[in-house]
Amino acid sequence: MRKNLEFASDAIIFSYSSVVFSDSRRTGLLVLASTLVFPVNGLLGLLGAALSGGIAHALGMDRQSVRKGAYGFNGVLTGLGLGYFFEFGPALLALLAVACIALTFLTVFLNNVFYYYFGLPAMSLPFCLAAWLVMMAGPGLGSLQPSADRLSAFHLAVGAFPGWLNTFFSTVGAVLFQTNTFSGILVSVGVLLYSRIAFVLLAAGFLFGGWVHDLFGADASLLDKRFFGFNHMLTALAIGGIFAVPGPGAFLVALVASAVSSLLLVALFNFLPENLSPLAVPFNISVILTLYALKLRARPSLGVRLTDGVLVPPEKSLGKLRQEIRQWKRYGVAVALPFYGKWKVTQGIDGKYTHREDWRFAYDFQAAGHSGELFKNNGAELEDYFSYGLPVVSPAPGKVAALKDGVADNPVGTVNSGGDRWGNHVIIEHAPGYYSCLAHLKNGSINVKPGQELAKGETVGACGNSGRSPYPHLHLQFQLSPVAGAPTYNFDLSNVVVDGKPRKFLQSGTLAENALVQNAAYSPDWAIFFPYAMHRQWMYRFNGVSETWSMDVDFYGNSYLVSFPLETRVYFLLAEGVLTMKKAEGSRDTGLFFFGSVVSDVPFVKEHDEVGWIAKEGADYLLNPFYVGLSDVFSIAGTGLHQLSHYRAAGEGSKVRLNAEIHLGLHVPGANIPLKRYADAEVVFARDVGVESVTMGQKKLVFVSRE
Amino acid sequence: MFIKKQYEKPFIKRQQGGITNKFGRTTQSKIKDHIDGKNVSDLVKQYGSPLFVYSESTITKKYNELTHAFALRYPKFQPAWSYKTNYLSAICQKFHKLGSWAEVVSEMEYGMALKLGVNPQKIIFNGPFKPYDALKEAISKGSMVNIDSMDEVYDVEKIAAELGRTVNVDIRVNMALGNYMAWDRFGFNIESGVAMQAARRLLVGGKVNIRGLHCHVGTFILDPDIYRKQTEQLISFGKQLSSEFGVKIEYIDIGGGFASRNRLKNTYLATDDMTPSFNSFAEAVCDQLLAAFKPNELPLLIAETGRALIDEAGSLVATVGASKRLNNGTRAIILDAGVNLLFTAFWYDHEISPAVDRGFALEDQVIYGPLCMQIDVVHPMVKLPNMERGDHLVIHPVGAYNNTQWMQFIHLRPNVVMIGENGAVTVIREKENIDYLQRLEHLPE
Repeated sequence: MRKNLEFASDAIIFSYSSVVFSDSRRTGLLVLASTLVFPVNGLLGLLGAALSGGIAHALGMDRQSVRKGAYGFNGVLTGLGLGYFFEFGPALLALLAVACIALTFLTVFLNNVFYYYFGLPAMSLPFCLAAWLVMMAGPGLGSLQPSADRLSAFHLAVGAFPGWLNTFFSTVGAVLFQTNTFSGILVSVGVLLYSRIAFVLLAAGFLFGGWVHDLFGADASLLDKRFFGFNHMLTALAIGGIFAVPGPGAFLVALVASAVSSLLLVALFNFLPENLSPLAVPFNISVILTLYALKLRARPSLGVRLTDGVLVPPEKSLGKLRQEIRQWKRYGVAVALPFYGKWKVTQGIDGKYTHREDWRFAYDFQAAGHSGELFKNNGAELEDYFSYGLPVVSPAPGKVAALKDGVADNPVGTVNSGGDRWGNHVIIEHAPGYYSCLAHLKNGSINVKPGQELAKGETVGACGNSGRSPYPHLHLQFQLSPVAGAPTYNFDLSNVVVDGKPRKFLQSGTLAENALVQNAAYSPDWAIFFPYAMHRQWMYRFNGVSETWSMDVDFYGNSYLVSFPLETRVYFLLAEGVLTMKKAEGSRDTGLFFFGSVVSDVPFVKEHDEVGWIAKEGADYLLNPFYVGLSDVFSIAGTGLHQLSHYRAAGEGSKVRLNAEIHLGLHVPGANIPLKRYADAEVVFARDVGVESVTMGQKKLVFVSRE
Repeated sequence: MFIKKQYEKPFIKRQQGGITNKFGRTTQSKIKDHIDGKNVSDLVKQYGSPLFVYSESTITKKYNELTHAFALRYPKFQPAWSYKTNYLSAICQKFHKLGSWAEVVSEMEYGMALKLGVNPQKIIFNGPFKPYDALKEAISKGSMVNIDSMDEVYDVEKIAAELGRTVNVDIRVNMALGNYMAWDRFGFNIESGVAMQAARRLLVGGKVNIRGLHCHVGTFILDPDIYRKQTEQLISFGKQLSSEFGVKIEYIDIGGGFASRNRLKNTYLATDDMTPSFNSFAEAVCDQLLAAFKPNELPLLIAETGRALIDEAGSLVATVGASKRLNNGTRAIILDAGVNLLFTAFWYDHEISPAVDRGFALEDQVIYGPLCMQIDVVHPMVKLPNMERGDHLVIHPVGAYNNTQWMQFIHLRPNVVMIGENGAVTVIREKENIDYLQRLEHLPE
């Protein structure tokens, strides 16, 4: 019984929060409260939610979707909308019931069609169509009375507020047809609670949409009296923070979309007959058109990144993006160097020989002798070149899409620039629309077939000198289609070590010409230096206070360290020779949190080896959540606070020592402004122990024992 | 300015007109008066003669060549320094600092490795004779033990029972490779099925896990194809073990045997032409491994290289003690270093270079050592100028198997120095004296 009540209350509360793209209960309750300023009207909303959710549940729709309010939120809008446009009465209630039935079917139908054909949600289109259905029938339904003077009946303003503020809050409330300041304030608080960025986007949509509206010289009463501006607000929120990751690019597209919404609003208002209102159609069409276009980009730029579409507060997408940017770039594919050992980048991106125009994003690699030379003897024979015949491997997991073999290797110094200019090559599909091409391979060396599944690092052939290649080298590029010569994408390489003094660990990035590069050392030893396992305890002392650490895995399979008694969880990933510390949750006062704040990604460093790198990440560990929230809002403008750490790791036999110089900086387009430098930190990992000590200024964490 | 010319004794040299030298070019002797930038006479003045001289930079260079050759072809390569080739602590420590594991073949060598602080899990314990206690110590400490015979199999099981847990071992196999003087006494033979029997016996007992395979085909191998065949057989045997017993092959140890730039007796090509590069050996081995295993199942490839890494880093400086002309007219010179210090002289013709310029008139000479034995011959025939008493000669390469097989016979063993990469010269083994020699002796009452 209790579970059923919980299910029902969730289904209703989340219906309300979904209207503002949130999955937070607090927000849902506040939105619900906002509709009760006019209680009768609010009741209709509740009825709508209950009816449409209930019908969906009774019909056997997916329980989780019902619980998450997927069927209820259109019902809320239908109930509130009908209550706004028509007089309350038994006729309206009956009509609402019928409309909700139609609504459930419309929701299922539209969502499925939209997902199948466009990969997009139908949002509140079901509500618009159901409401139109009723409105169209309205004049023909004698018992249904349109509500008299709804513009003033539902509008309440706060006298003390300036006109624009009242208009703003009333427009916010208008999302739920509550065109009054009080409702607007309640909804605004609800939105602020779940995301500051969302609120800023609502305001931006309101301002920009309104400005465009005035620019066109459109009827101001659409916004001032009828408060249709909520379309522009919701459009800006959807594009700027929900369906795309917040950022300057997404923000610009959001503004453009809200301008489109503005135009659509005026068009619909003028086109539709008297008894039909534009409702939320401008918002829906504008968002769906924009999203569809963004999804089909031939060359997706990283300026606008789409999210998974699951209702997640914009700040979370931002955090996830930062983590992803640090780990892998496009389509979740981490690209490694397609060879073994240390090779030289002989031509890089925008290289002066052949990497230009559509083919800018590519690398040429040649194996180097240990003094950096590319050939032995006098380089007259193919075999003199170290690269010739060396194994070439797949840079990431994928499937062989196309290949060509049988092109003869050129004698040293000559090229084959005709139709076979790519020589013997293998094209691998890593994700739809994302292919890699390994070219100039040795004649007859390709040992894979089209359609064959490849693991990361699996041999595909040997380096050769076929095609437009005067000296044996390997060409790597990523492209849009499985045809040799297709235009290239920009791409980043992950977990690479670049030679230098000291050697540099490149967690993710591009390579410079003439750099000597190799994949970060694979070593099973990392697990020995980080041996945390489930059901065991590690005892620590942090600034004199004892705490224990343990390790566990969450429902989704993510590993994390957890501290006791004060609970902090720090998520981590140990893969491909790199230990990555991810986000932290819980108490900020533990030694575990302290450890997480100092460490980001650590490559494994062998004994007597030393590697350095710079890591840039969000300031979540250094600052308290309030400032982080503020910084997140500024991410819309492309700025924000971040943690910049200079790391140096050295292997010392039974220990790995990590030294860090930690800075807090402000990122502006084109530059990083250092703000504050923290005390230098040192972390020591010991074999079979894990974290042995962490020191930063006065703060000190030491390992005591383990069981 | 008037420079006094070097006096050259007059000599008579027989001219052979019209016949070309059927052995190609003549073995010219080049002057070698510096080793790693250090003047040979200065070294002798300070450290005496004879003198073993090791070059740290050559060690580093050869080690990097080896790892580089394999690194380009295989992502998981681990060299293990073969202690029996040279177990001077300074040499072993240098290899460990460079990242090498230790490969030992006796209790003695195992103890040496532990004493140097090597992690027991990075010690490979080979050999046909492993006393029970040594075997137990190695297994309990987690070293990689390569089982050589059925008796060892029974010992291992007993040890597992005593330790009360399952233990990890690897087995050594041998196979027909069609090479001259194949080693067939070590490990279990694959073709006859003995290897499979031994594996079955080990695994069926339930107390022992097999983690990898080991094979060592010989010494001073000049043909990389031998390694190709060896790897092929190791892979197929490993796959058989996997499919029949579910064994996961974590290590493939191809042993050692790479040749160095030394000249085996009765060969006539230049060593440059004969000695395969590390690249050739790597190519023979790695391609097959990549083809046989998926990227996330690649076993760790171990090579127990010794000679090829250290031989060229060692030189022996000796001084001419006397000279004479033998009955058949051949000139002979007698050095203060002979087969007591240069055991490998029995199989190799080392390069012998004068450290001082004695003119261009060369003569075939035989080089004897200081022992009173007819077989004490350092080199049977080498073209040298007329060296005088007190002149120094540099014998090269001597880094492998000489400092482990030298005899304390008739003469005390001399200083061994190493020229560091920073240029500093350190004595890594002091010359012996009589007290040292007789310390362990007791006279009966």
